[in-house]
Amino acid sequence: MTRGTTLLVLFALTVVGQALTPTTVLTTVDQARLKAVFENARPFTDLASAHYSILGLKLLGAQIPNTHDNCNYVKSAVDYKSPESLYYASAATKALGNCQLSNSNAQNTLQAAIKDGVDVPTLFFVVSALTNLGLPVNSNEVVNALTEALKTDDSILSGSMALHIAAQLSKETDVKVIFESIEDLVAQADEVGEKYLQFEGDLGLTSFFVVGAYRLAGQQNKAPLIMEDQAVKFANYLLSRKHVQSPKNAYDVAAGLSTLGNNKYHIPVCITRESSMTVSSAQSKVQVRVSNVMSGALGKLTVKADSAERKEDGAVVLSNSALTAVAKDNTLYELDFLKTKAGRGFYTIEFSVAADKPDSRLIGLSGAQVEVKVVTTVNVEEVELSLEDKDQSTPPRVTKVQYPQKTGSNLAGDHHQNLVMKFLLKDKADNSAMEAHQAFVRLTNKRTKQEVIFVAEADDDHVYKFELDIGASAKEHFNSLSGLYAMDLVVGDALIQNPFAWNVADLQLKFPEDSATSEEKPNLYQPREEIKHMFREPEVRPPATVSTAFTGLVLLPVLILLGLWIKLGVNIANFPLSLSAIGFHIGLGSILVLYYLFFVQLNMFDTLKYLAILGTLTFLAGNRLLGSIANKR
Amino acid sequence: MATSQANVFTVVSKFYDEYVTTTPQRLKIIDAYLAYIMLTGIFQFGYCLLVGTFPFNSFLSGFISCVASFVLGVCLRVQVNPQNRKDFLHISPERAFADFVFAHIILHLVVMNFIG
Repeated sequence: MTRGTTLLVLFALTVVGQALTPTTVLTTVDQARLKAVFENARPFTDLASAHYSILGLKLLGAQIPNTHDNCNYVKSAVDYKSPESLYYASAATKALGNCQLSNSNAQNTLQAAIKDGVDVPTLFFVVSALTNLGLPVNSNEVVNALTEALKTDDSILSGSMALHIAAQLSKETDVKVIFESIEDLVAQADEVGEKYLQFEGDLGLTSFFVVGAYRLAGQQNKAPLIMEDQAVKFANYLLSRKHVQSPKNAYDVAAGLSTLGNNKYHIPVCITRESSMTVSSAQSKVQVRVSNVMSGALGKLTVKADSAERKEDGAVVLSNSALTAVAKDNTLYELDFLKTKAGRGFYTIEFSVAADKPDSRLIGLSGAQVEVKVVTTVNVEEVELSLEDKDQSTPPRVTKVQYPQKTGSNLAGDHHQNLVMKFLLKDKADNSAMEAHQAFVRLTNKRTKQEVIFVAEADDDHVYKFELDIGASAKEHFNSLSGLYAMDLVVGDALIQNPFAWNVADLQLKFPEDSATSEEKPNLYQPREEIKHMFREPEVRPPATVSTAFTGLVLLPVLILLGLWIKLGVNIANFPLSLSAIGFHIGLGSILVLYYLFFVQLNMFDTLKYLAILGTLTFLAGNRLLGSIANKR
Repeated sequence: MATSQANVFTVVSKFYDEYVTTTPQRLKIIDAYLAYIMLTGIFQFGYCLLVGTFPFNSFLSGFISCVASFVLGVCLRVQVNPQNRKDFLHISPERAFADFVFAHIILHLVVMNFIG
């Protein structure tokens, strides 16, 4: 089982590890930009940015301006009671050179800080500050405290800090456990797209780990347990973050990359194209820069182009060609690409590098790819213009034109003819027929400047043909505007050095409908007709007489009712003149009046309010009245 | 044909005579009222058929007012009829009338609201 997995891992590594090279490089332009970030940190606002700015400039080999002011700032900003502050200050003063902190004050704080239960960051600040200031460090005490602290703290930051601490202790100290933790820490890194390796997406953490791991490896004289492709992936991640703006981030990029540019175990080799992508007869050499990640030279190298493959059809045009070193720059190598007699096209060139003096540190030596395109000049030949009658009654008149001339006289065509143009595009380099991405025929009305563009298509022999049915296309393309048209042939392509627009001829075109009936196309950008808003039409109502008549008709039954009641002999005489009787009837009447007022004026709430009052009164009266009637019965 | 016509006519006139003689006066008053309501409703409906349903809410409220008044009148008649005494032992005619008035008050409030 384990043997199988080991084989699988080895197989995967051989497949992947060979092809992995750095994606780009920290060019001199990038380094200048980082230097500008450091310089712009002045005037310093806090000790940390001062620390990063000073150390960053030193790392990139730049002059640190105003050394005396820097020293004064650091001395005034340091807090002698804080190990972290002492760490920043001591590193800055060490980089500045002739700047001194108060060692006795520092020593008191720092040595008092190493006590039971100290955490890893404090240990890191203390040990680093003591080492920077040149003060003695009790290595055994530190190692014990560190081991103790790491038992409860297994974060990646603390693990990386442990590497830095161990690298600063005396050589005799036993830091094997910490050294072997490098492998565990790398296992916790996240891989992105098989190209990048980083910790939690954090630039600072990744850079800190890389610097610490190689620092400890250098001190212990043992190769860190980081695989070659992992080192390249770390480099790729740091390179991908090179466009940062703050001093801390810029320092992280510079520190990580300068470690990977110069250490005893892994130096990724970067190959980038230095010349322009276009290869032509005027500029036939492809130049590449072979360097470490900091654009630094790697000594004498043999650089070979293993293969160059054309993208269109996969043809391989060269193999195993050595590049020659450029005299002035010891990182530049060049190859005369046109010696391969490659035709026009897009090419991917793959390189491999070997050091003249074998250097086991160099990694990413093969598989680097660079893209170029070979362009050519195009000639247009065998141009023939002809106007054919649609019914083929008369033979067509053929006019031959030579580029870049124009036809002597204007051609005249009308709606019962076809205009035909044939031409051939030839690659000047090998005189073969070719096709271009853009082969257009443009007709411009000389008076109105309106253009119409047609596409010319090539047949299997690469002969281009353009056919225009003058009658049929009149309406759609020309708006039936007869007149003089300029005819241009427009040819262009990514691989053509001399794209052109050539006025072949002037055409006098006559269309069936004359301009007398030409309609103005409605201009889209003028104001349109105003739309009048139509309010909702009122519903159809019956005439007033009809509704009045029916109102009367509806009220008629009341009279009928009264008549019937009188006939039946309603008993009005027996009306008891008691309070409750009168009250009841008045109450009912008032409720009806209230309803009329509700219809005319009041809202529901008011009505309900009044109704409550009137209704109560009516109820009391009615109750009394009906009760008395019932009793009388 | 003549006999069936005569039959219908005799039935109707007999019914009418019996109605006039046997029905107490109270019920006749109520019946007159019901006839009035029905006529009003028929006229309203005829108007709607003639000129269309606009405004619909007014038509509805008027028509339903007639229908509901008719129904309440019928209820009153049923409850007041001495022949139905044993069905309504606990409801005196005065109580029935009071219910009638109360229902009408609410009905007319709703109708006035809906008539727009």
